[in-house]
This record gives sequence, C-alpha cells and structure tokens, in this order.
Amino acid sequence: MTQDEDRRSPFLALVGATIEEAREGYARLSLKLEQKHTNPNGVMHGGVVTTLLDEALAIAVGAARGVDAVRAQPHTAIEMNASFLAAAREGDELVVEGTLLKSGRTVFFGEAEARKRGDNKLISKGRVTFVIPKRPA
Amino acid sequence: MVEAHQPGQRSAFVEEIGAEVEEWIEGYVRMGLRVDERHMNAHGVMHGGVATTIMDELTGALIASIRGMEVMFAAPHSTVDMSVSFIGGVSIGDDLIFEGRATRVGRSVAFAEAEVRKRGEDKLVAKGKFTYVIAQPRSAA
Amino acid sequence: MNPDDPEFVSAFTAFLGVELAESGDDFVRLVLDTDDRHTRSEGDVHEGVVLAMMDSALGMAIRLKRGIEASTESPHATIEMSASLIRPVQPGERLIVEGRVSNVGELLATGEAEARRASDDEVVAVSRLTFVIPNRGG
Repeated sequence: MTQDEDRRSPFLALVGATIEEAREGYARLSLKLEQKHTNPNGVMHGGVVTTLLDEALAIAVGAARGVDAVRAQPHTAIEMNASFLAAAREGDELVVEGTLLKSGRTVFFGEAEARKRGDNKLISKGRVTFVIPKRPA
Repeated sequence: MVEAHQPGQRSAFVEEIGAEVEEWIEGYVRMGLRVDERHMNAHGVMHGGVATTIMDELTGALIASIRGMEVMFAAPHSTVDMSVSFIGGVSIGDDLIFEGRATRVGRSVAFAEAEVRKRGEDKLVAKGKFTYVIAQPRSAA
Repeated sequence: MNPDDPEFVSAFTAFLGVELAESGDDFVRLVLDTDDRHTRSEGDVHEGVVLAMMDSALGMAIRLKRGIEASTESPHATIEMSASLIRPVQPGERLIVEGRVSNVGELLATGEAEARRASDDEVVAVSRLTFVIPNRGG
C-alpha cells in the first residue's frame, strides 16, 4: 500500500517521513535523516525517532480498527517509552516498524523498532499504549 | 574470596515468591511460576509486582549469561530503569512462563526485555523493558 | 556555547519553532506557539512535538548543570525515555515545557520534564528521561 494521504499527519509531513506500508496491526515508515533532524551532538534528535515510533503504532492501530472507526472515535496515545540504543546521523535512512501486541475494545498496545536501512542496526525500540477516550458526558 | 554466582542460584526474594529457573543458557533464560493465593492483589488478579520482580531477575540473569560470571563479578550490572506493561489478567492456578531477550549489551549500558505468557499460550500477559548499567571493573585486590 | 547561542536549541527543535524561554541552575524552559504544521490527522497537536520538546528541555538542563565544557567534551545522550500523555493540545496553543535535573552522576544523568498549556496552565504531559555520559579515555 502506498502513502495514504488520509492517514498522514501534517506533523509527519513536516518531519518528512514516508509511510511505506500499513495493514492490520503493522505499519512501516521511513525517513532520510537531514541536518534539520539533528541535536547539538550532530546526531538524530530523540524526538524524531519517538515521533516515528509513535506514528508507526498509531497507524498500525488505525489499520486494525478501520478508517471509519478511527474517524468516528480517534484513538490517542497515553503512554510511551523508548530506549535509544545507537546513534543515527545525517544521511542515514531510518526504517521504523510498528507491531500491535494487544488490540482490545478500548486499549491498544504495541511496540516499534527503528533500524538503519542497510546494516539493519537497531537504533531505538519503544512501546506505546493507546486508548479510545470516553466520550464526554 | 567470594563464590561466583552459579546458574540456578537466584535472589532470596525471588525464591520467596516461588519462581523457578527452567532454562539458563547464553542469551536465553526462562523462568516459571505457578500462581497461588500469595501472589494476588486486592482485586483478585495477580499483583503486578510479582511479574515485575521476576522479569527484573530474569533480565539480570540473561545479561549475566551473556557477559559471563567472572566478568559480571568483577563489574556487576544493576537495573536503573524499567517499564512494564500489564496486558492480560492472571488468576490463581495459572502456570506462567517468563522469557527474556537481550536487546543490546554494551560496555556500560545494557538493554533487555522480558515477556510473560501462560504456558502453552501465544498471547502476551505482560512485557517489560529493562535498562542496566555496568559498573566500571574493580582492579584486582 | 551559552544559552543565548542559537545553536543551543538543537537544529530539530529550532526547525519546529521552539524557543528558549528561561534557564537556571538545573532547569530549562522552552516554548512553542503551535500551528497547523504540528498537527496529526485528527487535528490536535502531534504528541511527537511534546516528546521532542521534553527531551530537549532536559538535555539542555543537564548541559547547563554539567557545564558547557564537560558537555562538549563528552556529550550526554538520551538512552531511555518514558512519558505519560495527559491532555490534548490544539493548534494555536502555546506549549511550555520545563526540564528539571534530578541527578547527574558519573555515568548517568536523570531528570523529568513537564509540558503545560499556556492558556490554562494544565499539564499536557510528564516524562522521565535517562541520559548516559560517555567515558572519557583512560
């Protein structure tokens, strides 16, 4: 499946990531790192990869729930954690895969990995918990 | 002279909880727990702390299996950070298995994960992520 | 490099439009006036914006605590982050993120960061981060 404009967040477009695949319970994004993605150490800013880990999982959940269900009641991340194992630099290409581990009625939970394209080195791994918020009374 | 930590030896606290080491080889550790009334919380499901404790023990043992006992003894590793998600409920009588995987073992920091399932089932019950620091080696006495 | 240096706010946070508001001995406060570029497809601000600011705020606070020289010689790097995302943020809202150092040790530095909405001062997100300080040679 190619980029689905309906699914792409404006922020994801700002960061510059591409959606490579999205299907029930799985999504894959990629991003070519540029100078604008760096931190003062000259390596990829943690916020770039946490955004991608989060988004990959949000898309995986969305693909499992279906476009109509998401539009009617959007899910939202409530909790995330990530480990940063290795540095990525300008010029590197990140591939981020998100996999759903739990798909409930109101709670969704998955894990995502960011790797460098080419040598497949693990850059970051994280988990995100999503809920469908209760409608206000 | 201090005794090296042998495979199969575990923390007094974990022994108290009743967890058993089922397998301990380089890069893979599995532990088991038969859930009984001591492990329950006030709401009738297993207390999260039980799973957390065993996962913590398991990931420590896992990193030890990779680093080697002698190395570990000269420069012990310890948990500095952990994050656990509780996915499914666990009841009295459930037979749980805990398995660990090292994500990365570096020179001063190591990352590992643990997963909990009911024996024979594929579905995850809990998952934990642990970060360890590795002390700087002590010089020989 | 001092807090007034534009490079002090990293390339990525500057790219997002984040600015340094205030800094002290063990804290840094960042602000961002969010707009439509920062949103997710549901319309509210993408939590990635908040996460990035929290990481930066604390990274910068640790930089100030350790001193610019030490931070340049052996730059600390985030190894672990966990965050609770508590309230949504609408585009147009001003985000205020404060990073506060808990401890700087020989190997690790830890701290917390909190994001609030300027309009009602409500907490938007909280997080805890761990940084590793690489060993110098010898």
